[in-house]
Amino acid sequence: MRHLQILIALAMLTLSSYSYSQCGGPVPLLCDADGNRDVNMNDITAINLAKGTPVAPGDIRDIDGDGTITVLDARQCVAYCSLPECVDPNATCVGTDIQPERLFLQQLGSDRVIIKWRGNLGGGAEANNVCFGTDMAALLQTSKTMATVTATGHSEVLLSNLEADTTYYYSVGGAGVADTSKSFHTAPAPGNVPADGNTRIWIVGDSGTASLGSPAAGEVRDGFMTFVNNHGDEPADLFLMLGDNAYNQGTDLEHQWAIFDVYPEILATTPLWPVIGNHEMGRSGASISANTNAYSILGDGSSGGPDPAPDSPMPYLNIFTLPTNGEVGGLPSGTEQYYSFDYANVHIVSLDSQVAIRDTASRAAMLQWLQDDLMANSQDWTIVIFHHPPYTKGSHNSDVPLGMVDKPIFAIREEFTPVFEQYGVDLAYSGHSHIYERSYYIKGHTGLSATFNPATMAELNDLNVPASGQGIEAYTQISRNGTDDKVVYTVAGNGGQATTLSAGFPHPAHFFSQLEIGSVVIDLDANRLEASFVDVNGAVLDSFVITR
Amino acid sequence: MRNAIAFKRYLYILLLTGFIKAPLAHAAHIGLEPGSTYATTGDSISFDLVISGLGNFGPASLGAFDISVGFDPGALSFNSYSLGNFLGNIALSQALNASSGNLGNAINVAEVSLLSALGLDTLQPGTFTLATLSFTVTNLAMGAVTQLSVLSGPVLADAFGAPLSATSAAPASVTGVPVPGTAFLLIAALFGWLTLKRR
Repeated sequence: MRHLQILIALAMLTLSSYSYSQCGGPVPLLCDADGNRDVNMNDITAINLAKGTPVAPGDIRDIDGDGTITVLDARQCVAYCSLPECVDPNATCVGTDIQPERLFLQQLGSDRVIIKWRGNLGGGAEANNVCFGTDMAALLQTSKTMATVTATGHSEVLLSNLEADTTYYYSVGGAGVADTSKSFHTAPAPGNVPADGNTRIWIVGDSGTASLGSPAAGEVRDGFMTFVNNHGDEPADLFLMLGDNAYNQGTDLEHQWAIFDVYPEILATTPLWPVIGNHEMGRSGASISANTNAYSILGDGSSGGPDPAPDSPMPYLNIFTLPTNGEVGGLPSGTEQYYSFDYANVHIVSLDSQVAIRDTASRAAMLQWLQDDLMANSQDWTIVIFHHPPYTKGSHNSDVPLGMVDKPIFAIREEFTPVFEQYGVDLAYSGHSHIYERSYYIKGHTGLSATFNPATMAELNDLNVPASGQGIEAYTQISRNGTDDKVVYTVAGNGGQATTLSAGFPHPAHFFSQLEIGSVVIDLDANRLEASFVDVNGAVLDSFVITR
Repeated sequence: MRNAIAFKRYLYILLLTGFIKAPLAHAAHIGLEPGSTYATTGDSISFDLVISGLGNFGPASLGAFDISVGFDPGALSFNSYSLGNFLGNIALSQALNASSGNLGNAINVAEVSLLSALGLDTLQPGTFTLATLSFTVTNLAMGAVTQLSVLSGPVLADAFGAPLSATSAAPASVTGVPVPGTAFLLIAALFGWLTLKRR
C-alpha cells in the first residue's frame, strides 16, 4: 500500500519535472541533488545533509512528497541511482590498464603504500589514477584513486587504511581487473612476523651500470630470481639499493636505464628503499654536492646543461618519495636524504653518507637522529644501510682517504659504527667498493685496518679465533660477553660490477671477500636471521646466521 | 455470506486506493541495551541501540534509520558513537552516515543503506545493533538514577524507502554506586560496628 502511495507521488513529481522541461529548461532528474545529470552516492549524501529541511512541493529531493527531507527520501532515491550501490561513475573502475615507463612502490607499510609511475609504454595518454582491491578479477569498484602529479611528471597515489599482511592487486588507468604483475603485499603489523613466517630482503649495491651499457645488473637480478625459485619461491618483501643506483651521474634518464628498465617486474610488486651514492650527484661521481648544472645527460638523452628537474637539483630526490615524518615507523628525520622504517619485526635505517655526512652540522644532526631513532627502536632486528663502507679493500680502500670522494668512509667508521654497536644494530650494509666483503661479528674497530684486533674486537669461537657465523659458529644477537654490541658489516657494491682490489686485501676484519658480482638476500623470522651472498647463478657463495 | 465477500472486496479497494490507513506488516522494536546498569562518576559506559521485529535474513529489511536518544548531560558526557554494519559497510561505501551526532541532550544517529533490498535481506538477522553510544559518567551520586531513552519520532525506512512503524522500549537506566574505595570503607565500618556490637 505504501509502495502504491509512493508510486503516485513519484508520478506527480515526474509530471512536474516534465512541465518544467516544457518551459525550455533542462529536465531535472529525480533525486539528482547536485544537478549533474547522474544520481549517485553524492546525491544521497546531499539529501542526507538536508535532513529535516521543509521543502516546497515538487522538490526533486522530496521524493515521497511529504514536504520534508528525511532519510526515507534518501533511501527511496537509492533506487534511482545510475549504478548499483550508487557508485559515482567518475570514481568507478571502468578504465583500461596501461603500462607506464616506470612503475614502482614506495613507503609500503602495514596499512599503506605509495604507487608511483610516469609515462605510457603504449604511447597513449598517461594514467591519472589507480584502482585496487584484494580480488584481482574484481577490484573494488569504488577504489579509483586520483593521482597527484609532481613537477617532474611523476604521478603518485597514496593508498591508506589497508589491511596488514594482505595481498592487494592494482591497475593503473582505472581498469577493474588486475593480475599478479601489479600487486603488493602489505607489511604485517609492526613487531609481528609475517603470516608466511619469513621476511625476505633483497639488497643490491652499485647496481646502476645498465646505464653504461653493462648487462651485469640484469645478470645479478636473474641470479636472485634463480635463488628465489630454489628457496621456497618466495619473492622479496623489501628491495634495498645501496647507492650508485644510476651511473654515471644519476640523471633522470640514467635512473630509467639503470633501475626502471632493469627491475620492472620487481619494482611493480616490491617496495624500493634506496640510499644516496656518490654517483647520484652528477659530474661522474666526483661531486660532493648536487648541482643542476652538473648533470650532463638530459632526460631526452642529449648532453649538456641542467637536468630537467625543476623541483630539486637531485633527480634521486625527485624520483623517490621517501619518508620524512616516520610514515612507516621510525623517528621522523625531516629529510628524504636519511630515514628509517619498520617492516614486520625488523627496523631499517637508511643513512646519507654522501651529502649530509660531509657538513659538520648536518652530520651531527643525522648522528643525533640516528641515536634517538635507535634508542626508540624495539624491533627484533635492526639493519642499517648507507653507501660508504667503513671497512673495505675492494675498489676503494678504507685506509686511504681518496680525496673528497672517500672521506665519508672515515666519518662512518669513526663516528657512526660506535652508535650502531651501542644501540643494538645487527647488520650494516654498504656499497661503493665493487666487491663482496663480509666481516666477522665485530665491535670497536674505528681505526685503520692494521688496528683490527680480533681477540678484542671479534666474536670468538671455542678455539678463540673469530667465529665465522656459519654452522655451530652461528652468531647470537647477545654476544658471549652478554651484551648486544656487535655488528656484521657487509660491503655489497658488486650489484653491477666487480672491479679491482686494493693494497692489503683482504681486510683483516672480513671473514669472506670475493671479487664477483652478485647480491645479498636476508631471510629472517622472530628468532633467526640468515644473510646470503648470491651469485648470478643463484648459488650462495657466503652466508651467516644470527639467532636471538 | 455474499455481503460479507462484497464488504471484503470493498475494504481491499479502499486499502489499495489509500482511503484507509493500512496497518503496516512489520513493526520494529527499538531499545537500548543494557536496559540497566550501575556506574560511578568517572566510569565509561556504552549502550547498544538495538532493533528487532523485522525480517530474519529476509523481508522486511531496514534500509535507513534516523533515531535520537535522549540523555541527561548533567549526569553523562557523550563520548562517541559508532554505526553497525547491518545496513552495509560505510568504509566500503555500502552505506552513508547521516547522523547529526551530539545535539546537547540527545544523540542523533542516522544511516542510509546503498545496498539492494536483496543485499539487505542477506545481511540482517532478526535482531541487530544499529549503533553503539559511549558516555562517561560525570555526576551520579550513589543511588541516583539517570535515564537514556529513544526519543519519539524515530524514522525507519524499509528496503524500498517506505516508512516502518516502531515501538520503543522503556528507557535504559544508570544507577549510581559508590566508588570502590568508598565501598571498602563502608564495608570495613560495617564490619567494625558488628564486631563491637558482639562484644
